Amino acid sequence: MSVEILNRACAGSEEKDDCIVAVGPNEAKAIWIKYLGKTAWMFDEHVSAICEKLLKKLGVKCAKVEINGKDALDYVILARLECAIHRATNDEGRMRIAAVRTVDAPTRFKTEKNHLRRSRLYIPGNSPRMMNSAGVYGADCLLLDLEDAVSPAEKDAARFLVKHALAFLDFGFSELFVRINPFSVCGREDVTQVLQAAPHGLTIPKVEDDDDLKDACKTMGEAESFRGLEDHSTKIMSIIETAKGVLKAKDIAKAAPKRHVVMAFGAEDYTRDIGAERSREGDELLFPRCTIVVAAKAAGIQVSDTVFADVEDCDALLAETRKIKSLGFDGKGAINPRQIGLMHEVFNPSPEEIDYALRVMDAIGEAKAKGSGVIALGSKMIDAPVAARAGRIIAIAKRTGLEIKRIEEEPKASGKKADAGGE
Amino acid sequence: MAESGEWVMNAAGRMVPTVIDGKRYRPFGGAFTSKPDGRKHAPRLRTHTREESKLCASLEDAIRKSGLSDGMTISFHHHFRNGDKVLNMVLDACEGLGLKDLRIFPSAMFPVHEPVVEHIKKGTVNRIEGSMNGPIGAYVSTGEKLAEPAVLRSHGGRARAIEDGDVKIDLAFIGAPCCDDYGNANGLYGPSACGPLGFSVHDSRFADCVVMITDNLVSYPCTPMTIEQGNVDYIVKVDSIGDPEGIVSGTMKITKSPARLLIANHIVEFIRQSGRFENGFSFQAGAGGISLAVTKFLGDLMRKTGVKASWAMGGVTKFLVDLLEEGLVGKLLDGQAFDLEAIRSLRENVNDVEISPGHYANIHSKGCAVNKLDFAFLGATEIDLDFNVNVNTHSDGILLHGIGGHQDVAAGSGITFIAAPLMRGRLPIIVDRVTTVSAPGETVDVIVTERGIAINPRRKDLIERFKDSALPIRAIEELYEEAIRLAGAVPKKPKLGDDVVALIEFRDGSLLDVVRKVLPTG
Repeated sequence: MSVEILNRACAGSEEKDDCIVAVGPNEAKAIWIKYLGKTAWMFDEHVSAICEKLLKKLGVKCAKVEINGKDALDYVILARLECAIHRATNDEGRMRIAAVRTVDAPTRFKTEKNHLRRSRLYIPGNSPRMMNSAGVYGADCLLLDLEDAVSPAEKDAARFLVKHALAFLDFGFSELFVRINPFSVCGREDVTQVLQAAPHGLTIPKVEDDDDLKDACKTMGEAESFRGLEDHSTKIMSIIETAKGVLKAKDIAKAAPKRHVVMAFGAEDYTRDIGAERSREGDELLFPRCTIVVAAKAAGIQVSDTVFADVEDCDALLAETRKIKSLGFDGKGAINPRQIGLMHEVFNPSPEEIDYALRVMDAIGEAKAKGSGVIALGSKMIDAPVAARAGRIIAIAKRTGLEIKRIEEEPKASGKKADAGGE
Repeated sequence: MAESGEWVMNAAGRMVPTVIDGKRYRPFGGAFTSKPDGRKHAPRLRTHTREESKLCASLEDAIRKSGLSDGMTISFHHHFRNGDKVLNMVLDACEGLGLKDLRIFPSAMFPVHEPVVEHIKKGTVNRIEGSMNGPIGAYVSTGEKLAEPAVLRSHGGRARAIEDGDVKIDLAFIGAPCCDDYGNANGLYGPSACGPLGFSVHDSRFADCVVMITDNLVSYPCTPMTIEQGNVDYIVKVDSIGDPEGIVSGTMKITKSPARLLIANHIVEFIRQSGRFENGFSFQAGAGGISLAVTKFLGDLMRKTGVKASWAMGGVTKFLVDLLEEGLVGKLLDGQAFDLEAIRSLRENVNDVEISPGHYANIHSKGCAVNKLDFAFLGATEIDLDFNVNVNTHSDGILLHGIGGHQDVAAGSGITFIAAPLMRGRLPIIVDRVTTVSAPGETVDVIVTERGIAINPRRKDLIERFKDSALPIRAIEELYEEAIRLAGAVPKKPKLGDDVVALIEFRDGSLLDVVRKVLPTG
């Protein structure tokens, strides 16, 4: 079973950190690889070896391969090669390629429903430059985008790039979501390819009713079993970005309870859909925002606000983030790494919240020592959600380097701060 | 190299020759081991009468009067950077006069000086002591051998070499943006204004003969007098000595690269937590993308905390000028101006003070300014597991940059940061062994990359202080392993010949490393 190279095809670009891989038929009936670029000689044997390995996996027995671009990392070269082969063969060849597993899923931390999601950073799915360092900015959540950030002609290229990036790069503490295309476009191919590298979840765009999520669940389930992943291990982030979606938010939030962990709002498409103008104050967004918050919270999942588009305007970003936090959102979308720190600043626990969490933890410790099942702080009962929240606040504070200490109370001024972090 | 004497391993772990072309070299013995004795070099005694004129009809006329002959040493400053017309103009004139085998001694060279390659081929020039940049570096690394290896020195090292008499300048050519008919000059005014003129101060004081070349002859006396009349022999008026576009940039922009901004953030956060961030602190700024961002973010932090710096040294840019004028920085010690705002500031601000490289960084003096620095942030093309830094060659072995003030600042500053992305394309910046040692590891304290921060194990104080910091502190070996993993493999090393094409001097005049000829990779 071999995959035939029928025509010459290219993939990739001349952008920084990218490369162009050209493949074509080889009359010599063998593999011929040339790696070009000023410092390519430093890695030529290694690059030839990894390319040969991929060609073998794909079942390509004869081809001419030319790689141009000295700065591309291994995963970029392999993604471009896989895409070029995909483009250079016929439907039969493409079917065979789809069935092959070309990457191994790396071990990642296991995510959870309540994972901290203060920020989700959008990374264009076809840009190696942005992808390479995506993991270093401390975003709680990365969203590798195959949808709006990728032109129709490059959908296949982005899909392979994201897959190889997920397998190759270290994304640190960031939870990894891939935003796939709608199933009416090429969402199904996205799911089968991307799940090879086992991201934490998929982001489903333009969700308009609960059937959209049920469909996604079914395809994801099939892909999970085909790729040997644990059932329901892949989570879902839905994005509501139409009037219909807002009205159906209640049903959508409840769909797919084993996967659905966060519901996000997309304001750009929403305002276009209802024919409104985006304003600085955002009055036009108040209704959908509140609707989505209530729907998500009623279903017990998290909710995340739309992206903030003006990278230069830090003050407006801070103001908007404070506002949406007060509405009940758990986080917000970022299009530039510079925005992450500001969002975290807003969502990070305040000294009062840390103080309260420490007192809750102390109370739990005391109750344990006494062997008592009832935990009390002053006159207040500490139930499980309050305890869990306290633990989470301390964990966030540790991870972000905040000072974890009790606030020294002024004599006789006690009692005033008791409710600062309470629920 | 038959006459290179015996080779020994120096304190930076590099094999270096003890004799080169008959000249004895002391192997580098550690950053603070130099014990100079003897006296400074001195220029000849001269006199000048009321009737004589220093003005010459042409550059050729000045060269003839100066008595320049084959094999002599001529020097230049680099304040005009890539807009410089003086060096090329002088070499063309020398060629026209049939001079041969000159040694050039510029404080730095730039891509605009590519014609030097032709002058080497024609025999006008046969030795270079000064930075290697772009086309000249590539030629020296791969082309025909020079009569002697090129010698690279730091800014402080160059001043020291002049004062110590290691390099005797026969004729100094000083491009002067503003000059009178007796030789007083500064860089502040005129079509080729460049700000300070400090890099030519030592040349003017120690050369046997000094020729000023100006496109802006002003009436006597020209003030301020960075260059003083008592040191100047001749003055030549020409149409233009520099291209303003290449001398300074109109406005310098901060990097937009998120990874580089993150590195700048890490440095500022490290400074904040270092225990030295308190009223009266000092720092060295540069004009690189990361350095500008650090300067700006440091300003934000000072504004937020109310902590003020007593002084800063530059590489002055608008960013540093803003801090001075806002009162966040008390004084600037000004070695170079990189933009128009910096030039304006040196004209207008009494607290923006021009200094020479000797004042700034000469180790053989009774104190240089780098010793008073708390923080400095520098760049690198490579860093190795011993914290040695390379700024001179690339991983392909080709000479690319001068040392600049790197060695001096690293040795002097309280905490020296090296800021660099972990990868340049797919080439790791952190390597097992640098291609060339430009600054020894013992002078480097903290490596800051976007993927983590490594503290030199010699700095036990910092390691202790940062053990619970939320900053991503990691061992340098970890960063190295991550770099190699990203690169996919350890890159192959360039093929090097036996010929030594350049020497890397340490700032005290000892031999830190040698650069070999790069052979074709095929």
